[in-house]
Amino acid sequence: MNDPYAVLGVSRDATDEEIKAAYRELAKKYHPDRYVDNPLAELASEKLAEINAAYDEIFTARRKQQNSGSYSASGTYAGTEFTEIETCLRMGQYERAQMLLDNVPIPQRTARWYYLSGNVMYSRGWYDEAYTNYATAARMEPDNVEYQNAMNHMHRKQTRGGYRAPSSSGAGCSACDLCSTLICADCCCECMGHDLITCC
Amino acid sequence: MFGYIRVHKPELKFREFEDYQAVYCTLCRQLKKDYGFAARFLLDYDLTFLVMIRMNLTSVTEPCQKERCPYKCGKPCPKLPGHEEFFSYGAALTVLLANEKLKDDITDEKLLRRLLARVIRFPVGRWSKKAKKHYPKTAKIVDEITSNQTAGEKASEFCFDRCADAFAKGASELLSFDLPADSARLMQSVGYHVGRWVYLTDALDDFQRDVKRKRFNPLARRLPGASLNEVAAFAQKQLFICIDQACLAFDLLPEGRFTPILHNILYCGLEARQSQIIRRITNHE
Repeated sequence: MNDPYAVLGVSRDATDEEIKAAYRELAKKYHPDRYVDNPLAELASEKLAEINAAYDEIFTARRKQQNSGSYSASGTYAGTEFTEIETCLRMGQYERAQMLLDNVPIPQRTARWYYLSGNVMYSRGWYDEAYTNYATAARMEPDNVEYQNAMNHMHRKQTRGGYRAPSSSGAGCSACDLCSTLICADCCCECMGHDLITCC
Repeated sequence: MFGYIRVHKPELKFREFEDYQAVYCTLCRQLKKDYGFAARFLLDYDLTFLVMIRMNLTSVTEPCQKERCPYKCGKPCPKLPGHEEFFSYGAALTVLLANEKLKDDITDEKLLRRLLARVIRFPVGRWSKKAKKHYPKTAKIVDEITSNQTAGEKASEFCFDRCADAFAKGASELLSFDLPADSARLMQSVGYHVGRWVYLTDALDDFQRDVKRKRFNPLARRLPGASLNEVAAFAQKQLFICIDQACLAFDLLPEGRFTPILHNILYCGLEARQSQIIRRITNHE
């Protein structure tokens, strides 16, 4: 994979907020909604996947740096095992990711475990399990923005997201509405001694 | 089948509705041609959607032929010529799925309905055997849906998603059956999420009846003792995710003649149908 910092166009010293801002800009630029019915949609989506992978890689590495020492204190898991699971997820190897997750003993299932488990469930279309796992991760680490974002993402998907085509039932302003309003306004003005539209 | 996947007529243009009718009526004709006059009574909207979305991947340029329905007092009944392989597949699936539904009714329903199901199963069973001969792999997928569903319902540890997964996975395989690789993946996603939506909508529709008769219902198992409003709220969230995901996959499919109709179904029709069921259920509280 290319240098993740180069992919997002940020320096290695960039703060978390700067990286997130750069990610949001690029995600908007290559969002599939902008490329609907466009023959370049595939390229846009490949680019978006690259940006997402770069973002994940940067934050995974930063998190590991912050938490270095605590994983080795807790035992075998949570360090390299989660890295491998995250790699499997990025490559779409969901069955292997599930198998690795199942191998983690229950006492060692951290918030990260539940978050990654939620990701695997989401990819399989098991949305109820995904939500339960994300909720558990967010409960275990309430300050973790990534887990909160996952919950918010599910909440957004669970509500009506403007599926309907624009309504043609008359809501809003038509040309007739504008014309009749101008005529009425002109009449009112003329009653008060002025003229809004001089030609009528 | 279930008949939940429908167009939302207020948002459909007249010429789009004519195309939709043409697919529906041509499927009816195909059922009669392949399985006999009585088989057309199995016709439903869900399989019309399946035929249409698969056909949409090819070039369909033929105009509809204006004909009259021989069974409905000469009502207009447009016909879409050609593309028989899609309609034949749709007709085979119609009888195979109807046969499975009748087997289910024979075990689950009340006495009168059970007897009726047994009677209807005579001809449907024969048609199903014929469909199995021409589409053995498809018949195997349909059998697996039933066996996986039963396994999910009887599992010692209940998992709501596993129950839905059995039907959803089967639907994804049926929708993407024999398609080229580049479109098969997207069709699998559309099929999975529409299949999951149908399964959950049916569970919601049958919720009160299943609870009354103490029959298995995934929503009742997932939310034991919950009120109708709570069940409806939970189901609605799950259903919206399914619609959203199906639409995302659908949007990446190439455009075709039926794209506006399919767009109407996925973006408006599914939600309209689920809202209708939810309103009926919550009005009972």
